Amino acid sequence: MTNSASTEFTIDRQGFYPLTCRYDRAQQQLTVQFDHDKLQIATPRFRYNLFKRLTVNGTEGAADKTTSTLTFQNVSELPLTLAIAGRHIATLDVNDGALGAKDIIPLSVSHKRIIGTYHAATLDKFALGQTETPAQFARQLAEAEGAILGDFHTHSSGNISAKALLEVAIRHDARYPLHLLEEIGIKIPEDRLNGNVEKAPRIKFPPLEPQNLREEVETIPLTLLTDEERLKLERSMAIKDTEVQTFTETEIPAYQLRYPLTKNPALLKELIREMVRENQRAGIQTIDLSYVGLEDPAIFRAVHEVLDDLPNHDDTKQVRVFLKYGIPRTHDIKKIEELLEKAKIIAQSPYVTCIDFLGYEDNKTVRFSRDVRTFAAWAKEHAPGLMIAVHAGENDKNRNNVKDALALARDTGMPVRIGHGLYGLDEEAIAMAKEILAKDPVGVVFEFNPESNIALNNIMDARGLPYPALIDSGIPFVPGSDSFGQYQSSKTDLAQTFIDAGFTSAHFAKMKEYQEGLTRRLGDKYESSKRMISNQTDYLNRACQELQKNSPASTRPPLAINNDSIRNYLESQDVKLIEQAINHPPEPEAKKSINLPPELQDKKAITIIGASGTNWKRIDPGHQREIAIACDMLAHALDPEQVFFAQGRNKNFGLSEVLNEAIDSAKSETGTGFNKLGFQADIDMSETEFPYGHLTHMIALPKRTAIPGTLADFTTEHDGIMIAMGGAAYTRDALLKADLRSHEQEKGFVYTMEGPVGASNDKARGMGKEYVFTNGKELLQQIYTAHKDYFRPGIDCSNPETVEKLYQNALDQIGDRYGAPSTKGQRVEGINTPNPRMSKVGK
Amino acid sequence: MIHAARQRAQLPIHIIHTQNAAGVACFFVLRAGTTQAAQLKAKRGQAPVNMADYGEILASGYGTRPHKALAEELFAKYCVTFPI
Repeated sequence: MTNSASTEFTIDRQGFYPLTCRYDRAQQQLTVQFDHDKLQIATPRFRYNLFKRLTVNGTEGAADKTTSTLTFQNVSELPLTLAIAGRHIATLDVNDGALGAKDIIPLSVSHKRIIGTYHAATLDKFALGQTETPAQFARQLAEAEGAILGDFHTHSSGNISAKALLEVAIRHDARYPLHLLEEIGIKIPEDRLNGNVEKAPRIKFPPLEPQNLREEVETIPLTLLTDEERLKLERSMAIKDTEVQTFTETEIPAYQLRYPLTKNPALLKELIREMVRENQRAGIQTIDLSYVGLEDPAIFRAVHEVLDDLPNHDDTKQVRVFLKYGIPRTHDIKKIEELLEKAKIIAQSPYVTCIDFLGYEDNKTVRFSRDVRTFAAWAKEHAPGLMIAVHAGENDKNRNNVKDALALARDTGMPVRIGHGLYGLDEEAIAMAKEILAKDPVGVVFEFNPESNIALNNIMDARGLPYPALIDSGIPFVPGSDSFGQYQSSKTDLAQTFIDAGFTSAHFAKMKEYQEGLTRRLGDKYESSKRMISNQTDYLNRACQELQKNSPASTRPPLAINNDSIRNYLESQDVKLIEQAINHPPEPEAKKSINLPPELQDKKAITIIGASGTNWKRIDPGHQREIAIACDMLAHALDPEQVFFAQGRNKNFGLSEVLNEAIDSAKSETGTGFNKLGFQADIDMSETEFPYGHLTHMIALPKRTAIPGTLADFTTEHDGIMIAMGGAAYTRDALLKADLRSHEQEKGFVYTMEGPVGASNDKARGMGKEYVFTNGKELLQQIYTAHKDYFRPGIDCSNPETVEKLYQNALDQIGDRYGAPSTKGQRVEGINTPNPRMSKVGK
Repeated sequence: MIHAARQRAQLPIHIIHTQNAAGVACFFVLRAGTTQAAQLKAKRGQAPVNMADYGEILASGYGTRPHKALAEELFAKYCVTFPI
């Protein structure tokens, strides 16, 4: 090797972030230089954490962010190991006189998301593909990839990569809605638009698109886009590769951007072909594709024609495609009933193996259970072998959703597929599953989608996945990508995530066996339906005719509320409504700045989020008491002249109740009260008792899903802090968004309680330790360190005596409210015998 | 909270600091013989126990010390003071 040599490779499997390593033997210096422009596309925290945690032989380098270069000095001997947060990336060594990189283990897309989301100092705690040796890892990965035979949970609009989607669309001269381009910041200049704009019917995105959109929209040909604009659109059609995001923030917009192409009948056949080509190249043999919109006769026909044709082509014939008829679980019941009627036509297709209740799991499964049971009775007779799939347990909002889905299988005898099943897998659920499986070995199948679970903030990393309980109970499970293209993932990345989750050879063998069993069952349904319809062409014609005539125009329920009625309602009870868009398009989340009334201006928001309602009940009473003490200390220490409290949805019990009691208590003792701002959606004006009496102000939001994002935005915009104690999906999302909005990459403004079961405890793992507290004393000290100005005059929380006094006061206030601890299950920490010879009683 | 004293044996009173299954600090004021106290001591850091198996529980609560009213009551009845 000459005195200076270099080598290039990429740190990620997608190949987005190449780097060049240069070794100067004379200077004993190694420089690691990333492609600066390409790295700018990554999120700020990813870049920050990369520079902070990339080491060579365990030593940190000096970062120059302007050139995206790290320099390592005193590097005297090769080989060198490059690692991120202790996780091996590559070994640099001399080979045939040249510097080369070997044993490269690139980051998977999930690893990139974790690195780009959580605090640098905490990254060692995450599953990032750590391995004993690169050779061992290579063996594991090959085994894992070999165990993924199919993609059993994926979506028609998300499976294809965004790049291929656009390529197909451009090849077919497809047009695209101008307003969607504008929403992602692509503004086409007038001179390019001239003569290229045409009106076209809007391709709908029910039920999550904003209301009151026009039926016709202006479109332009995609060929009009520059390379840069096209790349921007392409990246917007997928979940970011270097950040965990929330469902409402990312998944919905990404699908919304894909729909005008994926639901365009003119493109549909070629898109399916291209999707299958991608899967065949990756070695996927079976795709069980969820398809929303099959009730459209044109789509139904086109899908069948292309699926019939796939076996005729070398580049598609090795993949078998089945369909799940997708019904968004967020539709109103009337619409679900309407679609289930259509499902009776659709389910007779040989390709259709499932009715799939999919979409954002923001509601309870029992909501549509009755309709599914009615449908199941029909299906047993007319579509034998058909299954029901339910997206359940994807988040922890409704913990009974998995059990409610299992009850459908148990009560109807129809096999049920559980999409995700992360939450709610308690002993009762497992017992129910076993009972069903005793009658039918494929009566329940769980579809694991670990990468989407990490990407959408439902779990922090693969180690947190609850798979072992299921696997050990012998409950069948199959792998799913939840859409490779949408998540920018691959079969290799998916295999890696299963390894990260702790899968062993035995687990992979089981996964293979379960996939084979399920594929046989899907094939059986195909054959059985084929026999029943006898002639596919006749069936297709008849089905399309029936779907055509059976298409009542769906109507949205009229809007029952407006700003004026809400304002009058609230003001009659002395709660001020702060102006905010209600039920107005186009923003799914209220992103506009909020103008505060004078009494809130110049004050900082103390936003409290966490466990209320049923999630509060899950918290140990001891932790409930710690939360109550922390709230009481806050209310007594903070200055109402400097801060106000902001909180999310009010519930009858839990954190909101505890906080309001603490605020009232402080007011009665000090004589000054706080302003209390509530963020509320679905404002209920029918209650006999006014439910918002604890508030002084309210911001009304268009929908519940807007609450986490708005709380995070609001807190940031008003220089406040967010404090999380317990909680579920909304708290998890609010925490994520608030933390990522931190102005400085390592300095957050989110304080997270460790201990109480739920979101705050989970998220504490990824936060800097200066923002994690276990009790009120720690919380006050942490806030005081950064925000002395929030506190009442004379309160000095750097003085332990002051904090102790506040703590004792809270203790005395709360008294025995949370009862006595159970005598059982106590781990002894220490024994003290104050007066060993004295016992007053009995003397 | 104070528990009804069922026995009035002349046994020493101990303050036991524990952690429950959720990891929350708890305390128990226990009247127990030296043998039982020694057994409990031996359980320090070991598998969880049922405190009721080791003596008469006079009071218990979450945290490391009682609130003011309970502390006063414990002192009045048993001359027990909690170390701060």
